[in-house]
Amino acid sequence: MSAIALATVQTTSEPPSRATLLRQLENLQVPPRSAALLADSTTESSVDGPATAAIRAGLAGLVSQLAGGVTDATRYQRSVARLVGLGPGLTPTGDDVLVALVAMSRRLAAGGLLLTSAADSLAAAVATCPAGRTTAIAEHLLHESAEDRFPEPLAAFVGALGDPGVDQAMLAALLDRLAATGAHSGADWIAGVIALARVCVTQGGDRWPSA
Amino acid sequence: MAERVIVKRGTYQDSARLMRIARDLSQVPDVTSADVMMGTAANLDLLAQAGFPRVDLDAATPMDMVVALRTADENAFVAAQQRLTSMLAGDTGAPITADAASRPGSVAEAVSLHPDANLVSIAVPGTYAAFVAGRALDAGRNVFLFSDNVALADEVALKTRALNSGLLVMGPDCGTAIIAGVGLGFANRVPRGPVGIVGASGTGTQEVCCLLSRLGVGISHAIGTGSRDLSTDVNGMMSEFGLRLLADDQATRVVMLVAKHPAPAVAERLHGVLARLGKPAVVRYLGERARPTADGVVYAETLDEAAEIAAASSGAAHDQKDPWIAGPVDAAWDGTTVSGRLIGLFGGGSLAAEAQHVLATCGFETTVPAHRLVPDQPIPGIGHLIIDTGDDAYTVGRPHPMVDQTVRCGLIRAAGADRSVGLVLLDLVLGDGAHLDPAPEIVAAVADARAARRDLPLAVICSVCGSADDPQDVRQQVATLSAGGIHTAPTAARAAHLAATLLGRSPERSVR
Repeated sequence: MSAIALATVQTTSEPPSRATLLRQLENLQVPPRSAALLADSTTESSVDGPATAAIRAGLAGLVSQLAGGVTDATRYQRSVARLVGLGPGLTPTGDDVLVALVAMSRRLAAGGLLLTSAADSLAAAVATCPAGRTTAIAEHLLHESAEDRFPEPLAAFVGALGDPGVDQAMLAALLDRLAATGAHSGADWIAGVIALARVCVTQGGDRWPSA
Repeated sequence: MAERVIVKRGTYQDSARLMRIARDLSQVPDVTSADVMMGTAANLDLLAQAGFPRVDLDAATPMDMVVALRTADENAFVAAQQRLTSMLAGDTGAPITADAASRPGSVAEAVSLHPDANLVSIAVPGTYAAFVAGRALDAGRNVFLFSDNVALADEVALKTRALNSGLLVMGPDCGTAIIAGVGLGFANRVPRGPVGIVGASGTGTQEVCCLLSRLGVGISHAIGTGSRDLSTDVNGMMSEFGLRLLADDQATRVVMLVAKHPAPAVAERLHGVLARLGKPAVVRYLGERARPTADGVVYAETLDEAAEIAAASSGAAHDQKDPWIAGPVDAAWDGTTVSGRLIGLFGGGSLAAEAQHVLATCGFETTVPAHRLVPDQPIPGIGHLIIDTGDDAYTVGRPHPMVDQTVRCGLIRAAGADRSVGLVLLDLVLGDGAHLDPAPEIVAAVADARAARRDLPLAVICSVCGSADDPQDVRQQVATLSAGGIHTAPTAARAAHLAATLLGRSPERSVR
């Protein structure tokens, strides 16, 4: 009997639209913990201890590689290794952020907002990350994400981002549901998703051919 | 200032509890900071960079909880250490509320909250399940292990250890058990009585429990073993132990074993055990023909037959037969036949195997599709198909079909849209844990399926596994299905038999 519900991000039906995504991002209220990881907030009380700075740096580095169209597998492996197992939680925050980046990079690539081979390189780096670097449950979620299977609330939120058929109220409801997942995994996933979406959507022009 | 690290080996705590521990420790007087993390390499590096002693950190693994404390002095460190010990032993430092008592954070906490409990029910992600089950065995408790995805080697190790301590490990992947009248996992509300069951098959056990209750006979215990217990590797360890417990149990007068596809050597070994129990023994190995009765051990052809033999052997008065199961299998048949192929869409894997077996004995070969069928897409292949929608391939991203019927209803609509299909065979499993009102969803899907084919008829048969006391009201479920033009049957075997009749073939043997 399975205890973790996983789903595939619906990247095939409606590719994300840049205009919709921009509008959605402007109107989203992210939870305080996500805001702290995104460095939107100077209040860090909601984020635990010494790992925050390292996670922020690791997240920013990976976002910049993905948005910049880096495809070099070795660079992704190094960046992934910096985040794996990092931070508090049974699924450490660094792993949650990685899962979110894999999900959102797939979604953005489907709309030409991110290079497909960059998303592939990230997934490959996550898939080949050596065993024993993080907790067993986080390792499971990372491997599933590399296979395009994500926790269902994350998949639902990512699938709704950039979809013109999803109104802001529905998106907010999906965000709330995601934020309520786990002790802090939901907020950590949101940070990863929003960090990548913001950068890719604001760099202008359809830079990448969609898959 | 003291900077010290405490490594708690194999201490599995969920994230919320890790946060609570960190918060509580940071409130101990003269504790400057308290970080609580799992001992991953990245976290150990981070703590080392923050000045914590590397030599203490190096001992930790990702399965260990690491507590990094900065305290004003050694006394504060000792106080924090004591607080940590009492928290891990289950003392939250706060009055125990009803909610906290019903949702303990660890096995230790659960055991301290309920010192008289002799069984721990575990449903955590598979990667941690063996570990948690080990803690329950440490505490001297029997285990009901609902979790799946537990490594075979872990299952063997857990069961070996349990046997040495005289404890049960029911599972992993154990869907159903009823111990001393208490249902665990998916279970039907059936009366207590003289039949003791050992079941490696969840829905098979449920079907037998409901059949016995319809026959007016209760059960003493239904001991689950998990689906792999009769494999060569596990060697029927818990099946044998369960049978011996039932042999020693005064309330049990008849012993029944229900399993699917046992390894031949294991079945042979268990035959020897059954023959020497000193009590009547009935066996149903699902998906295969009855073996010859030998040494007093009766092998039944169907679950229906097994229940009837057990009821008869129990000595309990069971003459008040429910007409639904005592009447002719084809009582609901109006003489019409259907053309086209049969698509069986099951929620219970064991019931799918039972139906497949009965259809085969009636001359209808069925196959299990090699690839997952997609809801609302054409049904592939040409022959009769049997699909277990509770299989992992169909449950990714959603609960079991006994709880969430979305996929199965989509497949019913797909069967309707396929004009080569003439008959849909279903099961419905009720009881605690299952969907609270499943019949209307099935009826709606069948109506959609029929609407898609206009004048071409679609016959639908559904078996309903449920007891009179189940929360869903079994009569109401049956009435709803009937009103939706669905033939109903009390068991998967009888439903399959009726399906064979509708397909126009005489049965090779009757299903009792």
